[in-house]
Amino acid sequence: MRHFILLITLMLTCTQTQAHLLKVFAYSKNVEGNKQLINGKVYFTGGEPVNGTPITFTNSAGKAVHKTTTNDLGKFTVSLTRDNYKIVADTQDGHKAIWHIKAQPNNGANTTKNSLLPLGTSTDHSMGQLEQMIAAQISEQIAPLTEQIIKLQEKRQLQDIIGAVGYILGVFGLFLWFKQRHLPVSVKRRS
Amino acid sequence: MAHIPDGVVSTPILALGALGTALALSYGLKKLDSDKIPQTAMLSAVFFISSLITFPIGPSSIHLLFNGLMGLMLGWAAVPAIFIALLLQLTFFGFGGLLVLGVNTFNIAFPAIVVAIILRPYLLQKMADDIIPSKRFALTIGALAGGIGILLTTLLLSSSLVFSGQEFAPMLKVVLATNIPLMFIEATVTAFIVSFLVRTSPATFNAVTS
Repeated sequence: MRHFILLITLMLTCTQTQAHLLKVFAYSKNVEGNKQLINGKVYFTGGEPVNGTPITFTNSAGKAVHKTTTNDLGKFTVSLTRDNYKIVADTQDGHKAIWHIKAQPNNGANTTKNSLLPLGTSTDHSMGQLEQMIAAQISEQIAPLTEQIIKLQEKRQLQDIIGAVGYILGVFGLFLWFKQRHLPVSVKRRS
Repeated sequence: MAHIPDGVVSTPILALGALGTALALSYGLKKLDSDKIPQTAMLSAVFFISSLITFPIGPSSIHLLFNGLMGLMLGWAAVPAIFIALLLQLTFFGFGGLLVLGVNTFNIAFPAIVVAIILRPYLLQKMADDIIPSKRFALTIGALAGGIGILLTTLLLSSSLVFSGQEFAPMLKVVLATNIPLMFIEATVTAFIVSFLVRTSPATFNAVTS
């Protein structure tokens, strides 16, 4: 029991309680010449970066088109032909994580300057083109936000841990009740 | 290292793991005496929490398992303890996966059963003879239990990955690099816990004569 209390105390005082779940996160940006720049990182939940992890990029045709590894900060950057990609990080020892990236509809890098012009002067743009530009801009702007939201969701909640320990005790309590319930029967059988 | 996610292991291995776990679990539940339930619950909670405290090593991360200790203290009752802790880690934190739960449970519980069959009777016998075994004996048997726990889990984990088509050489490099240090850490920690418990409260080991 003393060890149990010790572990619980350790748990409560440990500020870096990471979990054992591999994650990969990436976002892409369109650049010149029908290419897209993909930035991403690999980490264990809680934020610990994982360096030297092999990453595989599979395109929409299901073909593995590119391979890379993460740097010391667990990050990677590649430039690939514009397409939808499935990004798989695999530490080779049973940890694996997947992330999907969608090709963005329009060239965000080229439209950056144009979209800053007053709407009235850009007569050469149709309404549809404008919408695409705005969509590209927005998706670029909210990429860091997405990352923050994922981080928040993965934050290990102390309540969860205490709740789960409570569940364990509860389940074994049920076992105990179940066994006790059958006790009189076995006593009867014996006599 | 011991929580394989869904989609990594091939179907035959999944079926084999589920079958092994089902058999071991039903026998473990049969062996779970009422007197032992509180202790089983406590160790289940220890196992649950120890997996949350991880240390990064190389391209992966490790955590203590305590499956050797569980085998030594609980015998077959370690199987339900491990299964329930893994199930809750899956539902609360998304470790591992529902389909591979059988494989993961088996990889961790099998070494505990081995310890329960080989080392536990030896320890109980010694405790019956000497009442309080020497510190060196307790440390040795604890270290053996901890070491065997990690060693066998590592072997089972590697073979479940290899038989699922993972490339052997790079996988082995990562697994060995992370699990050999873990084996020594776990052996040391288990040795001290066992030596402490044997001397202060020997009743924890033979609460039930089975």
